[in-house]
Amino acid sequence: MSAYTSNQSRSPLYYTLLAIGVLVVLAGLYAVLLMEEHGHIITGMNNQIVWGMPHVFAIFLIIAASGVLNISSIGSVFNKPAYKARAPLAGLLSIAMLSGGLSVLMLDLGRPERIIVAATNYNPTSVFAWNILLYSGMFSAVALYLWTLMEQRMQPWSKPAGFLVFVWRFVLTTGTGVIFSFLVARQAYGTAILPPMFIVISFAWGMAVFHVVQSTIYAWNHLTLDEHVQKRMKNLMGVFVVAALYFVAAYHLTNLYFARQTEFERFILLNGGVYPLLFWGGYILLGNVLPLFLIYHPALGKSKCVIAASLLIILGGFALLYVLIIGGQAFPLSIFPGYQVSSSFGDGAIAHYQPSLWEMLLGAGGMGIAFVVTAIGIRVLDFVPREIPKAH
Amino acid sequence: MNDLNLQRRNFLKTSLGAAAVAIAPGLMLFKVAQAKGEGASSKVRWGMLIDTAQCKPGCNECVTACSRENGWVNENRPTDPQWIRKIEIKDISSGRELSLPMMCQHCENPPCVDVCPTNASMKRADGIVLVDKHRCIGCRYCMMACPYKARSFVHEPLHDQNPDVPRGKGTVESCTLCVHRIDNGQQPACAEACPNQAILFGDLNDPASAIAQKVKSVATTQVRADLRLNPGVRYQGL
Amino acid sequence: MTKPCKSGCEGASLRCAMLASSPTFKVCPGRCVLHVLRCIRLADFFKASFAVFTALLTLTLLSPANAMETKPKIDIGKGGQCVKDTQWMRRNHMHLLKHQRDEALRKGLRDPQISLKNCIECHASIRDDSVIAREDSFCVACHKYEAVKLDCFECHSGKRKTAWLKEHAQ
Repeated sequence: MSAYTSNQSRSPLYYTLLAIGVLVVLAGLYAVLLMEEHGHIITGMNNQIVWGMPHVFAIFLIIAASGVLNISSIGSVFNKPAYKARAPLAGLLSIAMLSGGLSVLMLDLGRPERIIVAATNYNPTSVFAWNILLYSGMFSAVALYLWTLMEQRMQPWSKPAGFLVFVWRFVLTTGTGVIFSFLVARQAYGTAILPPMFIVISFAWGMAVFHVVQSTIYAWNHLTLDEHVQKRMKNLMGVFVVAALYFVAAYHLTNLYFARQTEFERFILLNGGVYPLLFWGGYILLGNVLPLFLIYHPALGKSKCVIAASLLIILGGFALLYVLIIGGQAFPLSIFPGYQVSSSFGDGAIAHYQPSLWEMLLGAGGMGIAFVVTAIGIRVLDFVPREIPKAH
Repeated sequence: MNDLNLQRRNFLKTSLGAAAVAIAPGLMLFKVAQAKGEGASSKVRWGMLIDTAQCKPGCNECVTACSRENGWVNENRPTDPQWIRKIEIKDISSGRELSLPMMCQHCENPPCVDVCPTNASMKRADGIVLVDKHRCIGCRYCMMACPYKARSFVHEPLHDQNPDVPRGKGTVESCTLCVHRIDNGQQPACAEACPNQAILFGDLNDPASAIAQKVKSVATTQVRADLRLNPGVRYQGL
Repeated sequence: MTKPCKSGCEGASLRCAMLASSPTFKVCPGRCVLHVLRCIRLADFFKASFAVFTALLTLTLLSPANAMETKPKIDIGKGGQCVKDTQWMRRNHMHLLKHQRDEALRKGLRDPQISLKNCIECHASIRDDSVIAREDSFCVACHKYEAVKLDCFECHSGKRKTAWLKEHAQ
C-alpha cells in the first residue's frame, strides 16, 4: 500500500527519536547509579518529604497504564467496534507505561538490589506486597490479551481475556489508591475516596495518553482519523475529565467540612505557595477548564484541539499528583492536635522540597522506557489501528 | 511397566538424595545454633512512662545520650536521622507550654508493621518495634505510615558504626528501645541519661514493676490515642 | 508474499499474521532481517542456540585461565576455632550467619558464641582490628577471590568491638 512507502523516508527521523529515547533512559540509569553509590542524599528527598518526583512520575505512569486499557475494555467487554480496532495499541501502551512506572519505583528504592527479598518475603497486610503481585500479573494478563487479539486462532478468547484485564486493572488501580488510603495518620490521605478517585482519574489520563499516541501515529503515517470516531473518543475523554474533577472536588469539599482538616485544606488550596498554584493553575485551569473548553466548544474539537487538550490533561495530572503526594507530605503531621509544636526534626513546620536533577532524570527515564517500548512495539508489530485510512 | 517402575524408583532415589543433601546443612546448623536462653517473650511488654513535668525545655540529655549510644549524628540537615527528639509544644487555646521527648512509640498495632512489604518492620514478641535491616528494601512506606514521624532514612553511606548497633545506607531506622542494652539487662540510654528521671522504663506486664504501678495510679495518656495503636510509650502531664 | 515462508504454517500462526501487515516487511520483504528472523522455526532456533551455548561452554571450560593455581592470602587475626572446623565453616558460614541473624534479631535469641561480633573479635586483623580494611583481611580475602559481594558491612561494623570501644571511650 502506498501509504507505507513514505515510511522509508521517515526512517532516519524514527531512529533519531528512538535514539533520543534511549539516551533519556540511559541518563535515568546513570542517575540510579549515582544514587546507589552516594545514597539518596543527592536527591531532594529527605526525612520529611519521603517520596518525591520519581514517585510523581511513577504513579502517573501506573495510573495511565491502567486507564489506557479502558479503550480495550470498551472494545472487548462492551463491544464497540471502533474501540476494538484500538485495543492492541492500548495494550502496548499499557505494558510500556507500566514498565516505565515500575522501573522508576524499583530503582528509587534505598536498596534496589534487594528486589529478590521483596519478591520472596510477603507481608499479607501490606498493599505494597499485594501490588508486586498485581503489577506483575498485569503484564501477563495484558500480554495474554494481546495474544488473543492479534492471533487469528485466539480471537474467540479475546472477550474473556478482555474481561480478565478489565477486572484486573480495577483491582490494580484500587491497589494504587489504597497505598495512600491506608495511611491513617496523614491528613492528606487516610480516606476511602482515593481508590475510586484514582480509577476515574485513570480513565481520563489513559484516554489522554492514548489520544496523544494515536494522533502521532496517524500523523506519522499520513492517515486521518475518522471524524465520527474522533468525536466519540474526545467526548468520552471529556466525560472522564469531568468525572475525575467531581471526585477531586468531593475529596476537598469533605475535607473542608472537618474542623481538624481545615488548616490542611487552607495550605493546599490557599496559602501553601507552590501547592495552591499547581492545584488551581496546573490542575484546575490547565488540566480541566482549558481542555474541556477545547473539547466541547462547538467551533473547536478537531484533531489539533484534541492533542492540545490531551497534553494539557496530562500536565494537569502531574500537577495534581505533585500536590497530592508532595503537598500531602509537606504539611506537618498532626501529632498533638490542638497544640503548636516545634522541634529539631521539622515538627509543626512546613517541609520544603527541592527536586534535584537526579530524581528528575530518574522520572524522565521512566517516561523514556515507556516511549522506547511503544516506539519499538509499533514499528515491529501490527499495532496501528486497522481501519479504512483516508490518505491525503 | 517394569521399565516405568524402575524409572520411578530411580527418580525417587535421586530426589530423596538431593533433598537430604539440601536439608543436611540445616540440620547441622540446628545443633550448632541451639541458642541459649528463651529470647524475647510475649509475657513481657516493654514500655516507657515520660513525666513531662520533669522534662525541662532546652534540655537535650536524652537526645545526646541516644545519639552517642547508637551512633547517629544530626547536624540539622533535613536528611539527618533523628531517633529521638525534644518537642516544645504549646496549647493553642490555653497557652500552656510543655517540653517532651518523642521517639518510636512501640505501638501494639504498629502501622509501620502493617505496611512493610517485606516484614522488615516487625514487632518483637516483647513489644519492641524494630527494623530488620537484612530485609529492608528502603521503600520508605513505613515512614509515610508512622503517625509520630519516628523513622529516619539513611541517605548516605555510613562508616565506623557501633558494633552493637548496625545501621546502613538505604535502610530505614528508628528508636530500638536500645534493644541491645535491654537484652543485656540494662536500661535504654535515654532513660538512664535523663538528669530529672523523667523517663521511666520497665515491663508494663509485670504488676510489680515501677512503671506498671505508676501507670495504674496516675493519669497518663498515649499520644494520638484516637488512632487506637496502643503505644508502649505513655506520657504524664499531657 | 514474494518469498515462501519456511515455517509452513500458511498464515495461521501469529508470526504470519504479523508478517502480513508489518510495514517493515512490505518495504523490502526479501532482505528484511526481521522477516528472516520471524520465518525461522522455533525448533531450529533452539537447536542453533543450544549449539552456540555448548560451544561457548566448552571453550570456557577448556580455557587455560581456569586452572586455579593461586590461593588467597588471608589474615586470620587471632585465629583459632570455636564453632566448627575450617572446612565446614568455609562451606556453611553463610547459612550459619543467615540463620543466626534471624534468631537474634527477630526472636531475641542471642547466642554470643556465634554472633557476628564474636567472629570479628577473633578474626579481625591484629594490625588494624578489622575484617574488611585490607586486601588480605579475613572476610575480604576469600570473598574477593570468589567474587562474592560482601553485603554485611554496609551496616555492620567490621571492627573488633574491644578496639572500637577503646577508640570511642569518653
